Amino acid sequence: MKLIKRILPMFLAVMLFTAMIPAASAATTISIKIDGQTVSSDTAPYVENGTTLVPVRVITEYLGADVSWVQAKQQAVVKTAGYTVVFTLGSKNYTVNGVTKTLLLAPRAVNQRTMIPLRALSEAIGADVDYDAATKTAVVNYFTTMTGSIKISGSTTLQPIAQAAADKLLSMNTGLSIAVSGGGSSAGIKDTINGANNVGMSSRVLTADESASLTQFTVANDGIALIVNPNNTVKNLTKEQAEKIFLGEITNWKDVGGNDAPILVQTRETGSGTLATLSELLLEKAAVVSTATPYASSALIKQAVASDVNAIGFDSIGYVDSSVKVVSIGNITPTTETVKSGAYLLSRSLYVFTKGTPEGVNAKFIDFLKSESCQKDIVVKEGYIAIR
Amino acid sequence: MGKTGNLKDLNAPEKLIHILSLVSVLAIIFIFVFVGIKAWPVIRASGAGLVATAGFDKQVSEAFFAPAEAPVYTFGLLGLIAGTLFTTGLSLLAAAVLGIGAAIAIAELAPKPVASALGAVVRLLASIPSVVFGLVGIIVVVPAVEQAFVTTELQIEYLKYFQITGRSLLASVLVLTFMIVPMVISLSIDALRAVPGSLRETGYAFGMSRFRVIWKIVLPSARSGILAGMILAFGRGIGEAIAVSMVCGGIGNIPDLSMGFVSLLTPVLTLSAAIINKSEAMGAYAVESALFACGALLLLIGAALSIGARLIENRLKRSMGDAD
Repeated sequence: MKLIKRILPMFLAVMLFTAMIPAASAATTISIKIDGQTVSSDTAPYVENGTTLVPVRVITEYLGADVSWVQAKQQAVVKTAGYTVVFTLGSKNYTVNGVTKTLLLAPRAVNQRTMIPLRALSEAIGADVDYDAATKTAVVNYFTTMTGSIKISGSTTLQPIAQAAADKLLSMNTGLSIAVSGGGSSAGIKDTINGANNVGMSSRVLTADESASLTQFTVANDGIALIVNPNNTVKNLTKEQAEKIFLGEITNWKDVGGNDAPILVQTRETGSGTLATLSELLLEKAAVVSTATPYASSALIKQAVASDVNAIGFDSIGYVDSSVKVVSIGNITPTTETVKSGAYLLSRSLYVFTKGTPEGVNAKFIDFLKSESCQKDIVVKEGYIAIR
Repeated sequence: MGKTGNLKDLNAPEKLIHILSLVSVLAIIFIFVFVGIKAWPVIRASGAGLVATAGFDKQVSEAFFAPAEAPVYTFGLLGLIAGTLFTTGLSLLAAAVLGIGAAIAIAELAPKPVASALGAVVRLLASIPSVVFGLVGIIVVVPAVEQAFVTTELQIEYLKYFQITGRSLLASVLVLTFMIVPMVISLSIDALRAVPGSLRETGYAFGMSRFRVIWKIVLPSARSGILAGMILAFGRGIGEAIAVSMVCGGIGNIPDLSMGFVSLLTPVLTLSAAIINKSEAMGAYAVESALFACGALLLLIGAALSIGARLIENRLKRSMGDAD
């Protein structure tokens, strides 16, 4: 018995090992490098008969494309700013902006992921693709091959995102120039229609007239929570109360149902997108009362509110935690849902747009704004809600 | 050929030193020119108003949101200049009293082993990075100021002018004092120790007491060194950005002395802290230029300080009669 007890686990281990070997050698699994970064994927890409197959979603999310799956037609639809590419499972034909082209291998499903030939996908949307046999790496360059110039103007709320994205892209490319300026949403829309910029930015929805000649993309969502100290008894403010507090017209908590104590308004330094949004949505573009203490970051304003019982501030809902208390506005609490549905007062989407369908570097700039890395490293860091 | 300074006559290490010093001179010139060029649009548009008017916070906001075709280049830095002079001046005053006193205690009165231990501690304190002082300021000093002086009634009474929280001129002065006191102490110790022993002995020979010797002989002889230390400390105080920006309150108010003690609780903003705090708005070219104007002012003050230090030193030396 003892012998069996000792041998059985070893036996099982050997079985397990031998079982794994054929699975691993069936096809060569490889890694992917996009713009110099190794990309991880739950379903590994592999090479079959000299063709590299990659999970469509992994690549396209890095490149800022939207992928949708049409179950009835077994089709994967990949949309970048400039291209719409349709792949059909089991079919070598695919279309780019409606034009039919042919693949070397038909797309197939592996672990419920649509695998498509890397070269076709990347060439369809204008990426540089190479396969490095020595390191078994598929190399894709998309945001590192941009040349030319882009002029961007419009919403000052989006300005920090666009500026940060521009800075990032400029550091990744030589021969690229990007000029970002403000002016406000309406001016940006006007500029785009008149051809005075390449990409316009707006923090409001375009009117029917405006959108007739423009192609627009949502690049971020934004929701701002009004925050107070956890020991503050006030739970809800009407829109009017909130507005008057931040304009300095209501200065005592007792006027909104709290204790007899001063309302100490905490604000953000000029340049903050969160401040700009608050001013636009709550204060009709007026400035926050001039005695408000300004902070340089979302973290600092939160810390200030957390440490002063009479303070009120505002922060992107992404920053809010248990150290502060969220005050509802008109009894609606900001959540990802109420922000996305627009039920919450201080919520909206942020848009960029071009005249007609974007092309070349302009399209890539928009793709970058929508890409996973920009959403994570720039949009969220600047205090907005990511679209992914 | 020339006596000195001709590169041909020098050997390799001397040449290297000459070249290196030339490089540092060029770097300094480059900094002045670069900052000047960057600040020029705002200096030109604002003129004398740059140092004579206030309202920086509002102007930054206006300049940032201005449409591209009508940029705002007029700024007034008076609030920041006032904040800088008040914080640095008051903390220098406090540091002088504390620092020179401590230096006398360490250099003249304490027994040798105690003195050397204290000296080491002081030097250690002088090397603490400023962000640490800022952290201590925000965690200890700001709440302490709030606990000691801020009442709800006071807050309500002054809310129309400014918020009274711990973040204030007083907190900045306290933090800055902690920062520059070690510098004043260690430089004063050096100055006191440099006074020749023979001078002290002469004093004692005349039957002077220990304190009289310190007061009448040692301190006057050491004053140029002490003064140099004070000027260095002033320079550090004026340039200090991080620690001050964390505790000053971040608004360029000019402290109103008619408010009495409450004026010490005014939130202020210094030139160097403004460069940090307002850098978020630097996406607008006008704001960038305005911040460089702050930098240009700081450079000018720094240059004036070092020239002033040299002049004072020379005058003191001449009046002391030792022209070495």
